[in-house]
Amino acid sequence: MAEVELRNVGQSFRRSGGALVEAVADVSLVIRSHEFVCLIGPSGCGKTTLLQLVAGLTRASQGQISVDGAAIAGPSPERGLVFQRDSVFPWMRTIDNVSYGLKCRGVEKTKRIEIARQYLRQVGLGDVERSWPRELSGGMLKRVAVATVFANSPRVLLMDEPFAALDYVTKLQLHQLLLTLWEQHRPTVLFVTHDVDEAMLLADRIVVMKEGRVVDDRKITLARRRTVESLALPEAVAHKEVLLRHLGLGELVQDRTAPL
Amino acid sequence: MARTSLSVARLPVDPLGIIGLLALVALWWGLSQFHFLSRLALPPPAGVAAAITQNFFSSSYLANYHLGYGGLAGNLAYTISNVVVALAVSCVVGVALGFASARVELFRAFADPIMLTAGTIPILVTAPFFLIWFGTSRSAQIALLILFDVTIVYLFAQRAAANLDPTYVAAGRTLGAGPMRIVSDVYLKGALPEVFGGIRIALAGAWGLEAFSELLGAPKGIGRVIQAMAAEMDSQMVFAAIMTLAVVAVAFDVAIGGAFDFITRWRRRARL
Repeated sequence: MAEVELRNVGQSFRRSGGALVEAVADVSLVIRSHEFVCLIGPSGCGKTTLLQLVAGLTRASQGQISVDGAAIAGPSPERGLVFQRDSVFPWMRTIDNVSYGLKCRGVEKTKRIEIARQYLRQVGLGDVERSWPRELSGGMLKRVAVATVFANSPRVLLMDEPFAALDYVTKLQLHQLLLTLWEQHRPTVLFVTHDVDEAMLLADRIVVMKEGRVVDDRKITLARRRTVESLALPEAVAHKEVLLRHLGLGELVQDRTAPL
Repeated sequence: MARTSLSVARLPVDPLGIIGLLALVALWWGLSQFHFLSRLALPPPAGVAAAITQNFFSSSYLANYHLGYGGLAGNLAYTISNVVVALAVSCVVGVALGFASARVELFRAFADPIMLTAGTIPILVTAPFFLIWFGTSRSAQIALLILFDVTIVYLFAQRAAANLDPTYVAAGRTLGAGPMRIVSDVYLKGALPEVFGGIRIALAGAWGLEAFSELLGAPKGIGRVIQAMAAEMDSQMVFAAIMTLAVVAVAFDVAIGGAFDFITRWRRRARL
């Protein structure tokens, strides 16, 4: 499908005072085809900047990012992005939002509406296709955003803390929905979060960033779909404890934990 | 669960506005009926209404003053066409320049001083220059109106594009929208509510400005009617001309407001 490779990627900018800030520093990472990678780290560690670089919305100051060996040059529908903020266009009806990417790619109207309807049904919004976004709840808007990106058949799915603003129950429902869609379509996923539990539930691999650098890269081999029980297994707990310590929450971890 | 999709039933005109208008006419009638002011200073509403009906579609009386045989309607048509043409040109130019200035820093640095200077020019003072440059043709009035309208539309379009959440632009780009689609599907549609606000303000000011600019040698128009009738001390016809222009201005505002509300119906608040 699509292998994403980051080689010595760096991104720096100058603050208004003139100081140079390295938001991302010398990051090298390979995300294999169909892999679900969660990028975790404290606020300001550079994870969103890294995601924007992979999306092509920002050009890297150093290094190279490629998908299947081809260097990326700007945004592309092959790399779909679900944003933390609401990105559903309020001036388009739900169905027009979901079919917008297909319209941009020149898919004829009947076909794109058919595809959009199929994805709206999959995310449980088949009955609101003619609604305006203002008529939908926050959770429904996220479903529309997810359906919009999947309808465009991206080979790489980038997600920037997409469910951070949602309530607990809605967030868990959307995790299950995302996993269902991912299992069906198997895009390569890079999912930014600061939520350790979310990462443990979703990821094949968890990459930890601190101060712009990758400081840990852990493979999560727990069987899918993960449940309350499987996430309480010693292996899962050990991962969680290490991740919490990375996030500066060592006081929550007992002394028996594995060293970083 | 979807929030309710009930659309709010809307009247094109606020009933309170109609009550206010009726109160004003009643006050006018009272003042003229009880002779608080002379008929010359304040003609009665019935007399003004009669002047309108007798001179609306054709008027040999107005023709005597070289204002054509089309009556008030013919002169109104001239005034309306100037206002509409100037507004249409200003919308295209103002929106294009406003969007460009919001997105291109260099262009903004170049265009802002020009537009802001244009906005501070006292239009009434510059009006005689338009007469010199364009003569007594309608071009003089249209150019004057464009100078007024385009500055307002430019500033509203610039602010609307600058305030648009950049997430929408980023979302469009990652979905495969090219630069033209980003402009037409994201900037234009997202900025419409604010741009429409600017257009309504420009239109509201344009009626009075057009009537004034016609005083400076236009061949016809409601402003010319007012000028000619004022010279004849025919205050009833002056009021008739002012009232017809006011009714047209209000009708345009209601129609355009309704059209704008429909086009931007996506932003109406749902009843929670």
